[in-house]
Amino acid sequence: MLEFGNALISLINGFIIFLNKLFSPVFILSFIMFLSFLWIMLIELDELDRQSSKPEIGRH
Amino acid sequence: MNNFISDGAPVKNNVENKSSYTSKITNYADKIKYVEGLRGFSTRTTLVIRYISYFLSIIIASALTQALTNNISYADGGGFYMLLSSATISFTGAISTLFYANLRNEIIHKVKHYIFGIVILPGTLLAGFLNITKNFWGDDTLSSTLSLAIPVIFLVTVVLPSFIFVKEMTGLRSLYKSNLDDQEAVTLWTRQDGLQR
Repeated sequence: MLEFGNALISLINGFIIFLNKLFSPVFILSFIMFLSFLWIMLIELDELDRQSSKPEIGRH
Repeated sequence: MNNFISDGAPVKNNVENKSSYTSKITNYADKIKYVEGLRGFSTRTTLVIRYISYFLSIIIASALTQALTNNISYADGGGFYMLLSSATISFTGAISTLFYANLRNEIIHKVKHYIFGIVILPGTLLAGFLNITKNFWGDDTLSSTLSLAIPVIFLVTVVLPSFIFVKEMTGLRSLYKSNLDDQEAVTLWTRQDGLQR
């Protein structure tokens, strides 16, 4: 029973440490920057696609 | 499908667009290969790799700056501010592309210029300079002035551009707006301003 409790507490501690690392300012900032660069990259890919072909107009 | 907004004009048959996810990707790849050839793939791959290297270089430069400004008065923890500035600039730029969709290429160029040309490279150089000169300073007036001034330059290089970028992006609409009133503008456009003589 004692071993089981120790294991449980160490798991909970590990989870708390993981959350602390996860929600550290550096990680959050890096994540925001990653998402922003992803969006900017998708825009540039879209610009490449637009340059590669004539526009297709669905209506009319 | 009931389309209440339709004006009755003929609409393109959209049945062909209801394809599976995989066939959409293969159609996209086929179109690239048909129009641009294999060069189309390499262009896009280069772009993705370039953005990955942008991200990694910002992280590496911030870590380097954090190490170089360690235990330097008024500049301690400079790498974190560098990361904060870069994140602010990239996030503001990404949001601005939604609001000013017609200026999105210019905004992307401006984001890259601000992050790499103003914040990251000069900031890392300044951090290196701070680290080199930290043992130079004595007790004289020149030393105390300079040892205070260089962290201020670091602050101006790394922290202030993010504020300036946010101000620039939020004022983008008024930046491109003419200050002329209607009468002045019309006289200019119709060449009745007297400048033609």
